[in-house]
This record gives sequence, C-alpha cells and structure tokens, in this order.
Amino acid sequence: MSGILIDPGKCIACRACEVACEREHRKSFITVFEFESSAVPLNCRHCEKAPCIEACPTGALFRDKDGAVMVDVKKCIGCDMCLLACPFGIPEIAGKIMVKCDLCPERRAEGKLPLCVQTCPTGALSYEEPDEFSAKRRKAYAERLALRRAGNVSGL
Amino acid sequence: MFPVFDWERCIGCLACVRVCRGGDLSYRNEDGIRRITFEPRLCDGDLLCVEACPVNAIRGAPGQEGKESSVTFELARCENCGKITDFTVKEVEWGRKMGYFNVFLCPNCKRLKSVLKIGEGLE
Repeated sequence: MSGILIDPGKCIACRACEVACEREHRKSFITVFEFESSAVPLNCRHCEKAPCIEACPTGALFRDKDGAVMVDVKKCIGCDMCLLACPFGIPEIAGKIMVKCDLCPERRAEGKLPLCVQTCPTGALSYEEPDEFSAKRRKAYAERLALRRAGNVSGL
Repeated sequence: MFPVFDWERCIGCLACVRVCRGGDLSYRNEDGIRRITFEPRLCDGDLLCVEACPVNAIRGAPGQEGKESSVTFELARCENCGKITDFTVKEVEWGRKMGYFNVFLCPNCKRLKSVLKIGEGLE
C-alpha cells in the first residue's frame, strides 16, 4: 500500500506541489508550511487505521484498492465529523461536501504518480511503500554519518 | 413516521441538519453558542436524520408532534490557540471518548502540530 511520503529535509518551499494539485483538482489539497530554516508539505496521510472512516456517520469514506482514503460524494453530507476525528486537520468542506487529497485516482489508473509527487523538483515527496521509504532514509542517514566520521564534510 | 429528538443525547454535530431535505432542521452559530431548531410543520418524514445521527439521538415515531423544539450547545475552544471552533463542547467530549484525541485542537493548530512533528530536528 503506497502513499505520499514526506522527506521534509528536502523541501525548498517552492510550492510547485500546491500548484500541481490545484491544476489537477482546481483546489490544492497539499499545503507547504514554512519555518525559519525548513519547510514541510502536508496532505492527507491516508492513515492505515483512518479515524475519519470510523467517524463518518453516513459511510461516505472508504478505502480504494490502492489504499487511498476516498470520499463518496453521493453519501457525504458535509457534517465535518471526519475533521473532528482527523489528527492532521485535513478535511475541508467545499460547498456541501468534504474534499481532500485523493492521490489522483485518474492518474493512478493510468499507472502515473500523483501530480504533486511527479512535480516535486527535490524529491521531498515520494509515492512508495512506507517500509521502502524508511529503509532509504536510514541508508541516507548512515551515509551522512559515515561521511562525517571520515571527516569529508562538516556541519552535519 | 416523524423524528423525535433526544436532546440530552444529541451532541450538536449537525449531521441531521445537513442531511435534512425538508428544511425543518436548521442551525445558527452565534457568540460561541449553536442553536439547532426543529420545525415539525416543514418535515417530510423521510427520516434521513435518524440514519445520519452518529449517537442515535433521533428515532422515528408515528404521528407528528406539533410543537417546535430547539436546543443550544456551547461551542468548544481550541485548547492551543483558544479560538472558538465549529465543534460543540459535547462533540469534543464525544470525540475524546471515541479516542480520536486527548487534546482538542482547531484544524489550523492540528496541521501546525503535525508539520512540526514531521519536520522535527530540522530547525
């Protein structure tokens, strides 16, 4: 089950992901938060145990075959119970229904990456299995550590 | 069949109001208070509200109760920034009981807390 994973150390706050998302959905479901010396993009985490699905009183939230948490627009009544339950504050009400990141289903059907991932120029966003992602990050960290030990770089 | 409301049990989440087609259920948020009103003369008796209610506070009963009823709820404040949210105190209690959170935060503070956690150690 792949998802969009965030490597905040790589984000340069260019907001290309926000623009890409808006192009695909007419509204951006990913937001970049900027801090003094770093930036973090945030979208729906498509939680493995999703409190929003549990909290929805009409059964409008479901998981699709790729593991994305999706909204059935015919069932959603826009009551916001999903937002109450969401630990990340993601769901938004647009008009009368809830909207959020859907991992670009049309693109996925064509075997393409979600548009924000495709667009991100620094690789701060990736679409992969969480295990793969952690393995890569561990490796990158170990490499940096090894370089520092070798005295090749400073300030790490 | 027409809806009968158990206002004691109701948490003021508005699921019934949002699903209502007759317009008999309405609400208003003002000065940190939410008022939900039921006007039986507008009710078409489809009982969609009974289905939508997450806490089973509405049941269908034969015949129509003639009088209008309404109830008020205090709106909850974000436990970080103190801003009044769109959730009632009773909704927050319910959410906490359901195990969705310990500290109640508004959407903005939730997002901020999340990104700070994701970016931990970067600053």
